[in-house]
Amino acid sequence: MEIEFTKKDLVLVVKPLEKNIEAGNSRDFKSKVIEQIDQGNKKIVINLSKVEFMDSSGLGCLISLLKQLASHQGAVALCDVQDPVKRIFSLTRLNQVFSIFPSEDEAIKTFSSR
Amino acid sequence: MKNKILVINDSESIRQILQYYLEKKNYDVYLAKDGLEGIQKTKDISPDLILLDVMMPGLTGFEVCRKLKNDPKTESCPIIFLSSLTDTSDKIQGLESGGVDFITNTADQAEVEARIETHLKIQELTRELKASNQELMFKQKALNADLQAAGVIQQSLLPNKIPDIPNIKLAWTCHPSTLVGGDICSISLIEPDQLNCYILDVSGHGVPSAMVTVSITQYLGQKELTTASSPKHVLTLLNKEYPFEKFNMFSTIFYMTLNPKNGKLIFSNAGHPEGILLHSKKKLELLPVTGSLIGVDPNSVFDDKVIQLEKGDKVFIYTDGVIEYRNSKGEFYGTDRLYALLEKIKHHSIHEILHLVFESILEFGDGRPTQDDVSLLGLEYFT
Repeated sequence: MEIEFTKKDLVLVVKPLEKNIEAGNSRDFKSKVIEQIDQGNKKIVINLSKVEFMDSSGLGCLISLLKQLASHQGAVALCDVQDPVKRIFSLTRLNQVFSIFPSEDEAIKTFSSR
Repeated sequence: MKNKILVINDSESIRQILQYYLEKKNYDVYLAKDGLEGIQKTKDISPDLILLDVMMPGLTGFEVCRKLKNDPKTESCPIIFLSSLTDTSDKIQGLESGGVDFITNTADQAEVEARIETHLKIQELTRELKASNQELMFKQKALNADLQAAGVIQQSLLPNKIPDIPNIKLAWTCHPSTLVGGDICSISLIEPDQLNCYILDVSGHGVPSAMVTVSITQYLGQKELTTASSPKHVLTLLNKEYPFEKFNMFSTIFYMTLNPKNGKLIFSNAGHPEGILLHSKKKLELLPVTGSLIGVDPNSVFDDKVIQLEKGDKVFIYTDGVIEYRNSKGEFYGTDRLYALLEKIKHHSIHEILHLVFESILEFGDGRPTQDDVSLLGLEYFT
């Protein structure tokens, strides 16, 4: 899975560049992000602007990152969520579990002020 | 163990020289004076390598080589041609007949030795590769057999007998995308006035999800849960018992209890695709999510929803493998297609409806195998 990592102050922005996060690539996505967490990145914003679909493995991978960061005094936020994925989030009520921001800047701003 | 080398050559002096060299290099050397004797000895002693002359009375070296390569008993033995012929066409013919090498300068001991060493090494590596391939195949076979057995065990958890209830017809189907799956359907009549049905989807698929379905099925089969009259109570307990951290998985579940006597249906839906209520005279109605995914938050609150079924109403629930099924163009089957189909076929029996839905999915994907587990469960209420 191709991912763009950009460091903005203390926040690491993770931008998956593939259309789908699903069974076939979610494990790879997770391990690449965990690598970043292990290197000390505890504040992560996942930019989902390119993602149009997520299956249960994809959701599982996000939940797993959320749990992992929470147990390391870190945090994760999502931004720029596209409509089809937004629908999945509201259907599964994961929109109540994740902090979701309309734009990357807003997500970073919130994190930086914490 | 010493490697065995067979020299097939009509010249006695060359045979003797080669024998002298090669024995000094610690090989076991066997000699044959012509092609026929060479073929016989190859069968008798199974040499590790053959040094073969080309021009011999009787069979030529090329003919001998072809014969050995055509016999399954001798085909794997590497053959090096050793000849004074220097034409490229001869060398090509030698290699085409199945030889691995062609040495023209038999006087250069060092070259002969080096090439023998090389081909023995290649031969040894090939043998090892074949052996490990075979071992892998055996292991793969054993794994497949295990998986198949696991599939059978999982199948045994599915409803094997649909309860016979006078005014209710039930149908279900579970199609794992591999031999085992992460979906489970359950139908059980607890009391004459309590029928429990649920459809569960553990995130991911394959063996890990399948094992979790087994565990959850057992958990939900306990008496204090099956007799609970409120689905939200069941889901609240399930949510506490299976936190995400336990197996790094979450589940979605649509759980309903129906009183067959009066058609009162109570359901709770934990992040599962919306159920569908098919009315014979009105448009279909969705049975929405009433709680979050199982396992994500131990404090999640689940709600019950009550609906009163009317004569001819049908309830259809399914797992996301249906709407997330994609054809080769990458298009999703999707809810719109599903709802439209259900509206069209709602007057069929519930059994036929399930069948038609599954057929429609496969037709949409030109028979492409499902990427995720696909499960359907339906009930039809008569008064």
